[in-house]
Amino acid sequence: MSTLHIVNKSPFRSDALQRCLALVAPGDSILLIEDGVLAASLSTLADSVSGRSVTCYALIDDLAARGVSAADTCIRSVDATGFVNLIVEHRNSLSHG
Amino acid sequence: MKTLTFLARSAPYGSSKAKALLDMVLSAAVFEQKIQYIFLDDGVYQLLAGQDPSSLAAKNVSAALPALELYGVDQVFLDLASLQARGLSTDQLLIPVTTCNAADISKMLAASDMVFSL
Amino acid sequence: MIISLVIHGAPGTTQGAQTALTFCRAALAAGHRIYRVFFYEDGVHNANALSVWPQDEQDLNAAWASLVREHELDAVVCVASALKRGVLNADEASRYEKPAASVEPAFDISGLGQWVDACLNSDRVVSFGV
Repeated sequence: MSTLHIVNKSPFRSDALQRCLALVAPGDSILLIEDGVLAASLSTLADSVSGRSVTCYALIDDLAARGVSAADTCIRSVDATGFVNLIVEHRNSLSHG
Repeated sequence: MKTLTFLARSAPYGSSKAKALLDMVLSAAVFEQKIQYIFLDDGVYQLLAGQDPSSLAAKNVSAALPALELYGVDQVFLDLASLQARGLSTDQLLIPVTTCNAADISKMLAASDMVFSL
Repeated sequence: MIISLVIHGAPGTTQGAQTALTFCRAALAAGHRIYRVFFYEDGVHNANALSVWPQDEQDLNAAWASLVREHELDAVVCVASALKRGVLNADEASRYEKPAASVEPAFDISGLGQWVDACLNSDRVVSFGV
């Protein structure tokens, strides 16, 4: 019974990530894709989900394309196969516009 | 029967998102699925009474709202915090809706088979 | 698992259609069944067979057409979105007296009912390019 929240917008241009964080529940996961990965190098996302039983992922191709690293945060990198697996593992997905 | 949840988060007229989501809701209703239609963020502006887009050559998105119940869409929710953050109150809305908060929405998401947000 | 995709984004404008293509390939490679790919709103531009891409860019329209053909995917463009954006098949071009058909023949043009049907018959529906 969990949701995969997909965020594809920059946290500096859109409040999609903030809106996602307002709805995320324990057991849910957050996947950053496209410009959403720009949040991956920030400590703010990690701080926001700390202690909430929420796991954060970022699409590795989108990180690499933008030269952004998630190495210093708790955000896990996944490839396209990992993305598919996340979809399978969660009951539903919510693409935050 | 599946539970489909729709998050209406965009203001009407500036983009086609409000209309696009409404069309999805009405199509799903024809197939008699369990529908949860939730207005939040800028989506609360879709519910305001007194919309008049005639000078924009745009269809009035709110015109379909009173017919939702006829379509069997009777679970219509409004995120009260989104409304209040925009200086609005429930007496300015075109149709009666059930108010809810972020925790309620999280619960509805958890009980959904599929979720669509525009 | 049975998965369907809904694609809202136009190729070359936002990244969503490319992300969806990569996801679709990965899902097929992992042995999942793609029940339907539904192109909605600006997503219908992915099905335009008349687009010409610069030689130094990946032709996303051709990539979709080739994936749909190779895996015999059920690819559907929303009729209301498509007509508005000039994505027409021969029947519609003739009916509306337009000079050309533009939809890639591997795609079907149909209504939102096909999206609902995908919801009913899939374990997961994933939206891209919103």
